Amino acid sequence: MRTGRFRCVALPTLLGMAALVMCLFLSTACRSGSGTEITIFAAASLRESFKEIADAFERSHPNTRIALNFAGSQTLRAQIAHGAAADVFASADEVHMDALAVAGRVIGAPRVFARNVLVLAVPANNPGDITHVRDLVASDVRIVLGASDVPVGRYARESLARYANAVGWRAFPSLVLDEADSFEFNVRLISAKIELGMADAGMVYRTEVQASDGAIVEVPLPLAAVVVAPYPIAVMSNSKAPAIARQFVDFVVSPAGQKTLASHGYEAAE
Amino acid sequence: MVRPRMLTWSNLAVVIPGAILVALIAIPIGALIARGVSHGDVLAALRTPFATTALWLSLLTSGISVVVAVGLGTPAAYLLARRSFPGRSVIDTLIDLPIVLPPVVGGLALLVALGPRGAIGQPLHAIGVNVAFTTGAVIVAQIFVSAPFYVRSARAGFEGVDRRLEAVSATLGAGSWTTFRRVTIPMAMPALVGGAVMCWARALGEFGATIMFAGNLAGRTQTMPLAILEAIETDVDAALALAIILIVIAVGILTVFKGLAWIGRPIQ
Repeated sequence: MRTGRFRCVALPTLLGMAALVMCLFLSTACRSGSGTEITIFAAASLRESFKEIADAFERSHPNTRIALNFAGSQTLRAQIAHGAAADVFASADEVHMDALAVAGRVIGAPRVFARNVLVLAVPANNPGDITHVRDLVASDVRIVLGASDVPVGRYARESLARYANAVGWRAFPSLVLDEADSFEFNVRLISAKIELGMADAGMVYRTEVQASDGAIVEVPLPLAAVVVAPYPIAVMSNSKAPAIARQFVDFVVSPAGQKTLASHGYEAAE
Repeated sequence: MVRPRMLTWSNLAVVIPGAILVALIAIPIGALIARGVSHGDVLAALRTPFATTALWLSLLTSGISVVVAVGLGTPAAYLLARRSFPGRSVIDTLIDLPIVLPPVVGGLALLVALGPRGAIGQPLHAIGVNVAFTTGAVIVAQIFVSAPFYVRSARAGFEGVDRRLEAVSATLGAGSWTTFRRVTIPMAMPALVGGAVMCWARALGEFGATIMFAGNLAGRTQTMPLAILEAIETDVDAALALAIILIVIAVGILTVFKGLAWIGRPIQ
């Protein structure tokens, strides 16, 4: 009886423990292959351009493999602050990069490698009939913005405040923010909701409009409301391969990297 | 009564793997609570409008979701357990589907169907009904992902009821509704309560479908899981405090419901 119970428990138990050991093995295995792997944490808006840059870098550095992790810059900053193994961080704003630099997580000074222009974006058929930023205060318009800690959300608030100052309409930003229907965690969630027609308008980067292949279109902002976002990049201090990480950063700011970024709608760094 | 012998090989073979699994769950939860309590003030976090608004919204929406799931799910579970009809296995698989799908896919499906440009959303939009970005959207998303847990459990409960007891009830002159109410439901009660608790727990933790279909707006669609994610990115200690609050409430409600299930257990 006792051995019978032992047998019927033993097999699934051994399988379970073997799988658990395998799980521990898998969490270290990816670092032990041939060559070097570096991990790039990049802002959500950099998805297409950084994939292309990483491919080109891997072609010119055959022994290096690049793992890309895209999310809102505030998410990536939080992950790095809690010890995530990032070799390079490319942020959509300087606030999150500077916070990591102050905390001693960055090697050297961060470099601005691109600039992105904040735009007002609507679905291609513009169901909310939005032709100007002031149309955002209409009560029947569904508006999606970034949360206040998300770079694109912070830039949107800055843009609304600049417009309010320029035209002397002090209540304007809070009117728009009160009208907003959702505050998203990264720019891609905003673009998706505009593209799916769930939102009538949102504030995203110009590169998002280009990446959508015509599904979302830009409504020009008045000059006073234009905000240009600097994108900084840096090697992280806990990088296990800082020399290769530095080469990747150099590649991003090189003419080849800059050309790729420009083809996706980014402005030059200078 | 047989006394368990603690230190035999066969006991260890059962206890050790079980202990590993318990540790895998208990250590992270314990670490979270330990860090949250030592770094932040949980009670102070509970007094912030950010937390109370999200908490109230979570309790309200998950509560409504469970009521709807039980109301609509009980007849569905009964039919699946007792009747055979064409398409029964298809419906059975369909109801299980949200358990397997990533919730964000559920949110996308809801958006494509009920969004302003969706097949159902567009006619609704024309008559002035907008679901997307509302508290209603949070509830719909929660029902989509959590109701299957109730239906599965309730169905198993109905299947487990001894049909002879129902037959006896009928021979004693009870109508079919009386039999259902006085015999079938009480016999299936542990499964119904257990299913409702699982359904509620899933609704309370719902994140992916909500962010996709309902968005993130404090007071309207920002439930606890969304508030915790937002807090992680601004103030980790506040996020830990919110997580601890959620754990305490979840444990409290699970305890109450397990007590109810024990009181309502069928007399053997």
